[in-house]
Amino acid sequence: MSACEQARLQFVYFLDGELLGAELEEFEAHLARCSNCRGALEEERDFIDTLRSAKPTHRLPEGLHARLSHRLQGKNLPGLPMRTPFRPLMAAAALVGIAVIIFSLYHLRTASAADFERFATETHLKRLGGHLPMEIASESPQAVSDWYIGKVPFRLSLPNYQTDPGEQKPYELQGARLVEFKNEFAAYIGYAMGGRPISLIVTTEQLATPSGGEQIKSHGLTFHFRTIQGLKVLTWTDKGLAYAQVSDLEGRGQQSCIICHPGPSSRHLFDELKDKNN
Amino acid sequence: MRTLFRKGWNKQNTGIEPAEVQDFGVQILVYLESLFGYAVNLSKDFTSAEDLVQETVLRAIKNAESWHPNTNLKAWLFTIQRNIWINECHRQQRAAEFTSLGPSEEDPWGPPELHRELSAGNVPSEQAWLRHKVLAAVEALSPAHREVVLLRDFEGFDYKEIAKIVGVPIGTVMSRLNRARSELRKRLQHLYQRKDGVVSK
Repeated sequence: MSACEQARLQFVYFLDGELLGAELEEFEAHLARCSNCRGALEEERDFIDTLRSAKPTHRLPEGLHARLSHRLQGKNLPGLPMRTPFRPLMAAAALVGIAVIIFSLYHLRTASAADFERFATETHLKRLGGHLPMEIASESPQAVSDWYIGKVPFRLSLPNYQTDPGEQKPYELQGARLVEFKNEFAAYIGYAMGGRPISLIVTTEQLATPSGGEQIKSHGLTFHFRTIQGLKVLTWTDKGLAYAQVSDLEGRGQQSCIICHPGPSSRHLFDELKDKNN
Repeated sequence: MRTLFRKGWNKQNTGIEPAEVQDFGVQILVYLESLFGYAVNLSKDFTSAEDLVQETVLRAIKNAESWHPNTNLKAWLFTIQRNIWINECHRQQRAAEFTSLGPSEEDPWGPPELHRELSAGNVPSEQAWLRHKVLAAVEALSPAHREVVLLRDFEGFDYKEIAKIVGVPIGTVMSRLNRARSELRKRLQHLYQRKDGVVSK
């Protein structure tokens, strides 16, 4: 078997990150000296990217998330189908009448907020896993803002960071795409700060009302902060829109606020987001 | 998730800290959509898929003590779900159906944006068509090949995790994945080409 034939058999393992040690070194050494194999590898990469970008998105059945969310908290939502072992709990729940209705309304709201955070976290994880290709790859806030016109039911205007002479931009806009949240298109904007990805998801306040978590009030806005799977998730609403920002930055990830509030005059607004314990 | 496993939780038995137990519940919720996608692939039926996901979460809660924080929770959940489904097939003597799944009338693999565009009388985007063609090719694979593609390329599991979920040696995963991708490449070769770094139809 020739070196090229051997290398091509290893393409998929290399692209899957399963080629290690000496095999990886030999493979990379061959690639470095063989332009034909480099070209063939790029074709293989395109094919795999095409395949992965086709991942089906299955919408969860109505109520399943809320029902299981409550199950995970050891509580049941009345009126939703439950499995046999929990029916006695349903019967008990029915006895408390109005109290249960108030309870369920409160938790439905919480579930809605958790939906948004969960969605934002999972979307960020998809990006980290390379399963969220951008539909527009651009560093221009204007180009990305224009791209969203007519695609989402709101006007999105991404601010531009004005650098001082000799100053390097502290973050990088990488691109954007549409994502589907509760049967509507939401905006997904991908940033990176020092090589660490930041995800910003924007939808309407009607679809996502952040609540719960650690609440931080700052200059008329209420931020809700949670750590999910080690990721910092900030949610808030402003002028009818709901925002979720996910990153693995330090503290509460407040550094990432700079992507929308680049000016020195507005940055102090978010000092209160800093975790005073850190 | 603060009340999760409050009753009966025992650190001495599990080695799990309370905060990690809270994360356990949150993380399960994060994986619901993935679990539902896998359940649709297994059952080919949205109602059965919903039941399967619900049963998986209940089973995970019941067996929480057997999960260790340093292991992949998503892979653990997928393993539970697959085992439940196989047991269900055996219980209903439908094992044969499991290995000969045909296309569903509900078209669970169909990309929603394509259906939405078509039902609105619009011309679907090139991207939507491409996605439709790719998914149709994946759907045409044998169940065993389709499963490894789904677990690797859609869900991002590594070979070792796939071997554990599917219950086969890692070499079998590699050979199934190779064959599956070869078949997909043949079916889709005419659909894509590289243009200035952009893959398009």
